[in-house]
Amino acid sequence: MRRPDGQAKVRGEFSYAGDLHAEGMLHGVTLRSPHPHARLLRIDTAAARALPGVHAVLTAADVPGDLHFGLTLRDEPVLADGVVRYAGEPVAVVAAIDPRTARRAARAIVVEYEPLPAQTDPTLAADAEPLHAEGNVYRHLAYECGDPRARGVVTVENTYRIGMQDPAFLAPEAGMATPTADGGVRLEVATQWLHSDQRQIAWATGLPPEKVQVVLAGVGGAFGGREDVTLHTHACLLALATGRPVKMEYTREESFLAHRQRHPGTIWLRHSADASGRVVSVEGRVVLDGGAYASTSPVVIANTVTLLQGPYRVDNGRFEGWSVRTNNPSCGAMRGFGVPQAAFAHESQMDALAAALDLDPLEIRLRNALRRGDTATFGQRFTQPTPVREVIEGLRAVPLPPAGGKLPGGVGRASSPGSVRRGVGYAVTMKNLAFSEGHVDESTATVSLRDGHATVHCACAEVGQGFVTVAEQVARTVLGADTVTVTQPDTLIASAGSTSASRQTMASGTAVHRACVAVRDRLLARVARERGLDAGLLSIQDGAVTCDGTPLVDVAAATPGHTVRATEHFAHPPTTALGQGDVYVGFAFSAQRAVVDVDVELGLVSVVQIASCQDVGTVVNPTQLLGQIEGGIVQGMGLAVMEEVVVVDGHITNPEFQDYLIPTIVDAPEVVSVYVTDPQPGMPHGWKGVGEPPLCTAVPAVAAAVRDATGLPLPSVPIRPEHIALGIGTPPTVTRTTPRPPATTGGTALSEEPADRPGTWESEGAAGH
Amino acid sequence: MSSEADESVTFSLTVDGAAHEVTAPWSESLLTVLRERLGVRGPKTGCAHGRCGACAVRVAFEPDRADDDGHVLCSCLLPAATAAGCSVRTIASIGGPDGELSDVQEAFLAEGAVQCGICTAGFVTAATELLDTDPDPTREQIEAALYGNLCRCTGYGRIVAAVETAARTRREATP
Amino acid sequence: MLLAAPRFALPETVGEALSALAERPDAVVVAGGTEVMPDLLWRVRTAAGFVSLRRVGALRGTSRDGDELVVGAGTPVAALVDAEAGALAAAARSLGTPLVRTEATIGGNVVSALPYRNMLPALLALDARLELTSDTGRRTVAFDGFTTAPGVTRLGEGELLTAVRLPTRPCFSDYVKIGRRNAQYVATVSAAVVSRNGAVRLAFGNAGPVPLRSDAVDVVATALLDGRAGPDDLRAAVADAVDPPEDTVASAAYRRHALGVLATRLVVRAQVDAGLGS
Ligand SMILES: Cc1cc2nc3c(=O)[nH]c(=O)nc-3n(C[C@H](O)[C@H](O)[C@H](O)COP(=O)(O)OP(=O)(O)OC[C@H]3O[C@@H](n4cnc5c(N)ncnc54)[C@H](O)[C@@H]3O)c2cc1C
Ligand code: FES
Ligand code: FES
Repeated sequence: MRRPDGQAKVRGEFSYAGDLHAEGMLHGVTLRSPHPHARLLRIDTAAARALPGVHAVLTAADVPGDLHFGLTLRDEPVLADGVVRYAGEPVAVVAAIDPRTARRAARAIVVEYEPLPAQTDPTLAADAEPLHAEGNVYRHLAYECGDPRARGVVTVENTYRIGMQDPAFLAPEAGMATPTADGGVRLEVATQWLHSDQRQIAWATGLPPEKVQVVLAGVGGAFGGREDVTLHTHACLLALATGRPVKMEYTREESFLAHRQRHPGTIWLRHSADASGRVVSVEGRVVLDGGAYASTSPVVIANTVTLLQGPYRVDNGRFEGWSVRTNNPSCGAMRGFGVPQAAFAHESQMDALAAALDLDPLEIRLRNALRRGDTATFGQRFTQPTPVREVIEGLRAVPLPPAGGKLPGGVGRASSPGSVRRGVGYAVTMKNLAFSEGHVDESTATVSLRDGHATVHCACAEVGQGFVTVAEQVARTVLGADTVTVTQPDTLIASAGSTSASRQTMASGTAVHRACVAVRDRLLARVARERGLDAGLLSIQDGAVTCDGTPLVDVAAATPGHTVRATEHFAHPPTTALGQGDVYVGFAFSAQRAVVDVDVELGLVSVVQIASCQDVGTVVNPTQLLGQIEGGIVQGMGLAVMEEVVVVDGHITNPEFQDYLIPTIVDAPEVVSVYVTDPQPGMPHGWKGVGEPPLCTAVPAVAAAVRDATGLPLPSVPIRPEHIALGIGTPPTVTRTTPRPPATTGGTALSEEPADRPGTWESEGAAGH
Repeated sequence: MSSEADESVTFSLTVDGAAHEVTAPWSESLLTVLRERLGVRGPKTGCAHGRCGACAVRVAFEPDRADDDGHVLCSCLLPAATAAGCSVRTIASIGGPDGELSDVQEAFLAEGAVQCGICTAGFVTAATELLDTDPDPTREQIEAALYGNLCRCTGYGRIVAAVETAARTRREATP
Repeated sequence: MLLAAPRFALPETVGEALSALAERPDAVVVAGGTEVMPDLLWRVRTAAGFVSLRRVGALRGTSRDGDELVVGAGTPVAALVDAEAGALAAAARSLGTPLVRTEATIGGNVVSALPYRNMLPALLALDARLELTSDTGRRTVAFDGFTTAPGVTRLGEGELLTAVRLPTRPCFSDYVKIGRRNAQYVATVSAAVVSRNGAVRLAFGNAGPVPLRSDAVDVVATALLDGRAGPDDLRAAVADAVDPPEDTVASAAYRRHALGVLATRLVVRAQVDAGLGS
């Protein structure tokens, strides 16, 4: 089935948030702090206000409601309050008759700053002077399972670094707020989560939530970067202050400054294994730089720390992590949500173990593969399908590509076939699906059917991923509808949660499915009543109501002029806090093999092919599925070899597409995608989220392939040409250890206090002998 | 201080066949003129600095010359007034008036080359020019023609497939 | 003049362009605009008007003048991708994107004078000359030395670059660049080679504040071409001669190393072309 919004999109007629406009609309712009950390001594907006065409200039003092917002901690001011904590923090907003006037007015605002020392090193954050009343540690967590001191014959450890990745969705943030007759405000905006926006806007405006209506405007990509509020509240405040519609649209540079990036991190890992390659124990410590405000940092760190074990059985271990506050850009959700960082580290370790034991990289993974019934380090049992071996075997069956292909360096033509070495690398990952740790994961849908036309209403944000296709497909199959309208999501219906965490097909898809089933049952009951038939014998097939297999009447003609409607809700079984049971709703597994050509002398890489075998529950729509896999893989390879938001002394040096590089069509590898289908229990048709695993796996797979080609340790991503050409990067420490069986078994114990400052535990040389 | 009038330029522009008289600041880009002054919103703003191709349009600088079919460029990089008297064709000129799709548009839809779609108008515009000049491009030539267009959603696989499909359709349609 | 406003002029001839410029001393010359427009967006450049060369027909296209190829300064880079001089073609083909190349001009690239711009090492290796035109007439200067600092040239006030002149004597020439992805990138470093009658001339991009070449490097490169020196000798000579920047894209050490590798590879290509090499 084709995308229902596809026709308008290929014709350039689809309306995106950036295309919004209204009669008499004003334009809003933001004045941002040039300093990563400073005290605000004085703000003088008089000159700006006096400019002709300027309708409002707002600062923190003008926020009528609660100044603070945030997805977890409410620690972030809507407009800077006495102090700025990152370069780019909004200080004032302006509404004027056109963007030029608004920009001129923003420049006319006088702000006196007293620069303060910028605290930009996350490893020092915990001990540093608090940057905020809420402190510098967003979350510290630590737990043990079994006996972390258990050892096998070989122990490898290293420190891995992951750079800051930008979601870089192609349509910068945009939205338009309009005052409503009841004194409220209506915001059309490109977002991932309407109800979360609504709640946070209500805080700041002081309006009851029902007076804040949020409507989805066309979204040009999201990838987690639209989960937080950016311009939403500002546009609403300006609209309320001026009584006019106010549109805001960020430039690409502002987009980099304003939205949340993927957390850069440092991960230290120590794995010990027996002679057969079975992992005996894993110890890991993580420091994620959360930047100036919390966003989802407290949640992301839990993902990174708990999934350090990878898709492998680990009985003994200890794990600890911090997400901390600094004066760097704020980080939050991005596709993968803490897992790409973990995946890069644990897969690098698996390869290091394989090398130390002279084992095949797939063999060592097979020997450790999780199985259904195993227990995770964090205490949750894998009770659902756990096809780790299957994805590895599925991947192994994909033939290798022939020699040749695009040369490293591409259009620059610096490489020739003689200067290139091929490498092959593997990675296998586990990604949690849906919300976790007690965060309710739910959605609601209303479906109505009249004369064969179905209307689906759900607050699920279509950001490009194809929910509209799934919704239409379900309505057509379940209801036999001729035509389907998926209405624009808004806050008039209950929350659908965020379009993130690979969750919307499962949550909103299921809500739509349930509502369709309810509508179908009501329709059939009515037909049965009218015709004196047994409802149990009726069903819908190929657009017709059938009785015991015989067509009775077309759905479109079954109840002329009558509308059948149903609203249904879906919620995953509740999850629990860490250490208390099921932290996660479910998991998906993915294996990839990357083939790269590397010009070792110059450090240039061409990713030739990535083969993927992913556990997808069932194949809902093959084209759309492939699109998610290919798109995710290319974002992952971007993080592996080129994408990095460079932050120097708190300032992003590359907030544009000249130096922040995302893969072009020339960089993109050929993707071969195969699937393991093991239906997810409790889901219609066994649906399972698919969006994040491809990215998580591609990062370590590409890195492993480059290591294979070069023989270098490459413990950091993105891998820079100079890491290869100049051999930069510390190799893992390999220690031959005396085997020590676990003294205790089973159980997961949380520890409250940090075992130590962020860093590493004692070195293996001292502990192991 | 200079007056508003000093800051602006007035010129004529033909967009998708319709003639316009435009008054805009002297440095304003063609993209801004199209989107903000003329309400032509098919070309999109992805970066405004030439990197993403979402704003691609086809401009004929000498529309009176029969052989000037125009070429595709980034409208965000072109000071609009330098196109005075010229003809601009946007995505709205590709495909028919009643929702009819061109072969390239049809293939983008059929092959799943569209996700969020913000890049699509630019890709379709650039791919159309490619097939107009070379109806049988190799994969390498497709990539060489399209690396000025970024897509963050698809990973490009379906886009290459769409261009190949469109080329095939076009070859089969013209014996 | 197609259009004249207080802050904007759209001349059709060089003469009109010069007088438009004289009347608007604070205006910036804009050719393709691919350099100027992002600069204005990012506020790294100020301007009080444009004199656009876009419609000056005489500045577009190439012609022969004796043993020189004359490339109009307003010629779009897209028109040079199949140029006879290999270095020019390769520099054109790898510049920006297909969409950018239709507007970007060779003149804009030269006058931008940024050491990482594509055309600069190619023109330096090819020993190009520049034709500069002003109210007082026309002068021709060597490209070597035209750039004096990043973004700064010897172009006079009110003067236009009208053409780039390249010798047409047969030679082997090539240009390569490297970056952090495989298309659409600013050169981390770049290099160009011209090999004619057994003599090699190399030039480097982003190897210092201005496009760079050195007699000492060329002596060793020439020796490498005919087997009197080894690749390591050339790398050492290049490492001595260059003074590359250190920035967030790459370290100076990497750039120095890579420039040596590029130099060696270009000489090997010249060897192969001459039937000398492996
Ligand atoms: C997306 C993108 C990618 C790019 N990639 C590359 C790349 O890979 N390699 C590269 O080298 N460059 C690249 N560039 C930079 C730019 O495209 C080139 O330098 C181009 O050749 C500039 O030409 P232009 O005509 O557009 O210059 P303009 O922007 O019009 O002018 C540039 C400068 O030259 C002056 N000028 C122009 N013509 C004349 C003249 N005839 N006489 C006097 N002064 C003149 C202008 O006043 C201005 O100072 C890229 C730019 C973009 C936007
Ligand atoms: S908006 Fe013009 S290239 Fe990105
Ligand atoms: S489909 Fe979203 S950027 Fe291409």
